Amino acid sequence: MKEIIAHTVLGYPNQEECLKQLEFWNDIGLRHWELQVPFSHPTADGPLITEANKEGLENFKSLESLLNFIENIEARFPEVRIEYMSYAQKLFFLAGSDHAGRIKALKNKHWIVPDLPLDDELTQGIGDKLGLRFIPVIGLNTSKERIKILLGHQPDWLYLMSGFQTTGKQFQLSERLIDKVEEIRGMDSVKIGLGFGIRSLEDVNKAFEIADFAILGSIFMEKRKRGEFESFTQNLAGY
Amino acid sequence: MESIEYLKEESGFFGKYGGKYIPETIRPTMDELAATFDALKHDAVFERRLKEAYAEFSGRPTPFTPLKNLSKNLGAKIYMKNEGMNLTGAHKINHCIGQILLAQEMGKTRIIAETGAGQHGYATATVAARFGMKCTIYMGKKDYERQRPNVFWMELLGAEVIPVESGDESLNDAVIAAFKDLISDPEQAFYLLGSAVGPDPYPRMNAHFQSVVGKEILETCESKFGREPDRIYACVGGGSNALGAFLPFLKRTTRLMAIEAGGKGEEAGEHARRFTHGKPGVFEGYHGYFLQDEDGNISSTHSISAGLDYCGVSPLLSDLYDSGRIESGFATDEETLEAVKRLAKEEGLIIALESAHALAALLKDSDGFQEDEIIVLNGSGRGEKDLFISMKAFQPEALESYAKTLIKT
Ligand SMILES: Cc1ncc(COP(=O)(O)O)c(C=O)c1O
Repeated sequence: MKEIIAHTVLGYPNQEECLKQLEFWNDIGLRHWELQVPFSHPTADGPLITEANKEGLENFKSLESLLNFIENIEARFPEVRIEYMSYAQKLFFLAGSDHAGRIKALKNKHWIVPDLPLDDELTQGIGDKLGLRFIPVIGLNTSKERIKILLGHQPDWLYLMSGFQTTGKQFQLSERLIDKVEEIRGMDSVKIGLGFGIRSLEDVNKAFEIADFAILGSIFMEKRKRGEFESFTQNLAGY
Repeated sequence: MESIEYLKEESGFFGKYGGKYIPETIRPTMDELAATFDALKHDAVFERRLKEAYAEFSGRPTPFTPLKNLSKNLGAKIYMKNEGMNLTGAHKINHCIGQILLAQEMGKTRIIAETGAGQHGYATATVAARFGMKCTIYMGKKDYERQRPNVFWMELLGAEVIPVESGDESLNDAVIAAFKDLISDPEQAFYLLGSAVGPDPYPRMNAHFQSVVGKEILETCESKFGREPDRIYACVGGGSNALGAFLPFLKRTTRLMAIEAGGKGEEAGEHARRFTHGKPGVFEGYHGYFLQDEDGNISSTHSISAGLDYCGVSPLLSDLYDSGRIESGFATDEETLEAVKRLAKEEGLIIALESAHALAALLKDSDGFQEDEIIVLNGSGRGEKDLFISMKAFQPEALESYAKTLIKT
């Protein structure tokens, strides 16, 4: 089944609005989310998500209150499938902190952490300590050999970046992208999520021609700033 | 060059530190760079080209200058390795030349770099011009403004300099912007990184290119005194000049003093003392010491010298610190300014604010020096680039009236 994965940053633009946004997604049937744990330096994100990370951080007094928020979301939306997203430093820190047990107790176990390579010892230690599994994020230049190594870790699905950019740029179903998807399909039955630059229902449908998931992030933030969040989302839900 | 045993490790891990914590999209570039570097680092032809560029272009070997008055006043034999005599005024050109030669070997057409003080950007723009490559330099907006003369030189050399407005608008944010550029152009661009930090192979590669400094120190000391020095003082931003000076001495008895920016206080955001006030973390591609808050976010830093104003420190130095092979020290902004003044007056040498941290720490330790001890200060850069910062500190009125005159005339 094809699914949209809706991304946002926890605590953006504030706790209340963030919850309302999730509520709205849930109500209209968008029930697969990528929720980003805000970090001071989101190295692979574009300007909008970077700004949202900053706001997200400011809206939680501490990690303690952020964890309360996450636990509340899991309790409130038991039907929703969630992948968490953050950066290596955040996960490394959590693994060595008193909060490790709370992360381990979360129901949703899959994390997207672009700067933690799956085949690294430290990464594996973090995964064990926090009881989580990683979704690899690959690009068009990721080699077949490398993909094989990553698939060897049996990820739940594979996040494929549609082009060479940080979040928030234009989406294209390029030949190279189509070839890469075919290459992966030829290797494994793993599900593929396409992300980066998907900005409209039209893009979503294009993505669905080759992928299982279409991941949308910064466009929600852009629409929110223009007061078009609800109409845009409603339109999407008809995919 | 004779190889240094510590750098033989090609896994990219030094103790538990180092690694390659990067998005998969830049892994192929990093793997290719590591393979190119490992294939060429001891290749005779590559070494000859490197040596030639060091000698003919940047001006190696650099002087080893006795600090006669300081020696007399402090009661020890004190020398300065004057890396400020390099083209562009600092040690940074050593790893810039090495990296651009590798970029050429890899067939890259575009150089990107981050810069703090502007020294690395200036050196990068210089080698890019020399070797005929396009060049984009990222610089935190705060640094862009406080190091404006270096921006001017970079532009004159044909580079595009982009002020980065995110975060604290300092070195850290420039690194992230440069990585983002690399993510969006991994096949053409070569990220010419400015210190012994970042994902493998940068830390060990830049340390290798910088180790020419320590080798010259060792050679000079052996021929001059028949032995190695007792201590070497070097400032630590990311760690490239310190590693360059230290590496040939790891197996010897020389005390290796790694001096960080004490800034204006002990509170978070007032300094850049990673060893004593930071803890291990994983950021900007490597595992090493980082200044971070109680929730694992990266802290902001402060130093009067842009080159030391950085949240992390080389994985190699992180390992050497844990093993006790290097010792950590610090100097405050104020102590540093005093050190600049003292060296200028007593020795006729104006050194960079970065390097003056090492001198200030040396001065603080001098009570413990013995007459026959040989103490080496690694003078990583010369001070001309700091003209306006130093003038503002020492003669604010003169600076103000000069600025007014400049605008009027
Ligand atoms: C003169 C000088 N010294 C030292 C440094 C610090 O860098 P590193 O620790 O890599 O030597 C800089 C950085 O810009 C510099 O310009």
